[in-house]
Amino acid sequence: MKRIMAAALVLVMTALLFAGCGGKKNVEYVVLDEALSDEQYAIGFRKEDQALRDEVQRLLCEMKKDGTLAQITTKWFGEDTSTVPDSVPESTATDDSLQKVKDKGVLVMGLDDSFPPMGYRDDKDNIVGYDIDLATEVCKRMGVELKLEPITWAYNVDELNQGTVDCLWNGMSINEERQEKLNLSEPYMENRQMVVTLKGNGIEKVADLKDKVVVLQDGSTAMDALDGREDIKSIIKDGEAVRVPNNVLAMYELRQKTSDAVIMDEVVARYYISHLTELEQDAKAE
Amino acid sequence: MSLFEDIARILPRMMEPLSATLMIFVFTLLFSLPLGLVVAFGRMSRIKPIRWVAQVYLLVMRGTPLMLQLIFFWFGLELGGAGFSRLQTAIVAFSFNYAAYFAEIYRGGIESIPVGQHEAADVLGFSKSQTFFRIILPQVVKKILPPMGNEFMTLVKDTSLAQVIAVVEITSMAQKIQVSMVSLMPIIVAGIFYLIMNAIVSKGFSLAEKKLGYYR
Repeated sequence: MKRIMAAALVLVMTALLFAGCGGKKNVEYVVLDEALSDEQYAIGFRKEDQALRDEVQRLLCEMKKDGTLAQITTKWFGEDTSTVPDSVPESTATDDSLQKVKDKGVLVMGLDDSFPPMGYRDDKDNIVGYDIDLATEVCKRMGVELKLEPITWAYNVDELNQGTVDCLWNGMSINEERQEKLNLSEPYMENRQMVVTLKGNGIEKVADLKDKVVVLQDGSTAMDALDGREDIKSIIKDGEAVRVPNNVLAMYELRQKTSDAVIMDEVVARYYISHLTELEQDAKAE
Repeated sequence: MSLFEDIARILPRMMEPLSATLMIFVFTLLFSLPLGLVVAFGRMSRIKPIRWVAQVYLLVMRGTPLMLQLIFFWFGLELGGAGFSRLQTAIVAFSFNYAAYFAEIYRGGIESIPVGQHEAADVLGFSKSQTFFRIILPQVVKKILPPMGNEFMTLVKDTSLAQVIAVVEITSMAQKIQVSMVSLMPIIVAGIFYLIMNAIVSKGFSLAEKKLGYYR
């Protein structure tokens, strides 16, 4: 028992050490002005679920018209950056996907609940975010309940085809593979893949990544973005980015100087930088 | 934000995932301990095809990663589409996997009992099942306690693999909190949870060993 207590104590002290060192380094995060790539977010449905897709799209356009969309977008991003079209042609779909959802009374939305600010868990463990607010409003208008189903994002298409979720809606960037395998909505927001670095790392433009260690989230579209920029990929250290399981770890790599730059979604980058800067200021104040 | 405030924010959110972790642990043991015995008998069977089936089962279950097995049960067999919950699927996969390890531990224990004891029991007029349940099994239980302790502790930690099919257990919850809190603290808290659980398991096994050590 004594030994167990000692082990626990060591862990707690390690924890203290982490908390202690974390804030003392004085770092400033920078997002480069130059984007690595432009992309767009869309909602994904099963290929055959045309009626459901069309109805969600119609409701989004309706929300744009009456100002609800602008209101939600401004709440999360400070300005209306949504790109939902004003109107879409009337649906000619004849499948029963919409009716099925209405009969069930539930729309099951598959998401990665660790993707702030699009969808994540708040302090009370409620899943919140921009996409959650949008989907909640869409479901209200459709007269069904919204059920949030956290999934392993890497298997999102399998979850959809298995029928465990009705749609994928979570800051999902459009790419070739998804266009082929999914029935996508019209793009509802622009996103860019950005380079985040520390002030003093000597990186001011994308070309400065030469021989630098670049880190990114495994399975994210940041990987596609880098793959699409052979000119950049070939000059970074080892010609390959370091992959970590999530963006927080990527930011830690940056702060610990084990890497020089992170590539991530612009919306996510802005969220983390404001959070991390806040934490560092708190730590300094203590 | 002080350390204790951070921990106080994390702890309440860990309770639900803790119950998922415990459910996987308890139900896996409940199903795999008896299933393992069946497999062990299959492996020791005198009938060749049965022995062969058991050997293939052992090879596949022990020869492939548990994480891949979880993915196979959820996405390959589409248990989700068949009405199983994520947690139930995880328990099914864990049970089949652990049964294989338990089977070999049982076999090791059973085969370590000298043949002379079977012969003696036979001479004394014990039936086959009497011999096994009254004479062999009590000795086997004593012998296999240390390797069983290993497996139990591994199982506590392996429950974290269930996150691959989106079961919200301790480790995945810690990562989710980590993302919104932008801090490493949740991971350390998760580590302490596992440590406490395994301290209990380890204590339980040493108590059991003491209790069963009646001939020493």
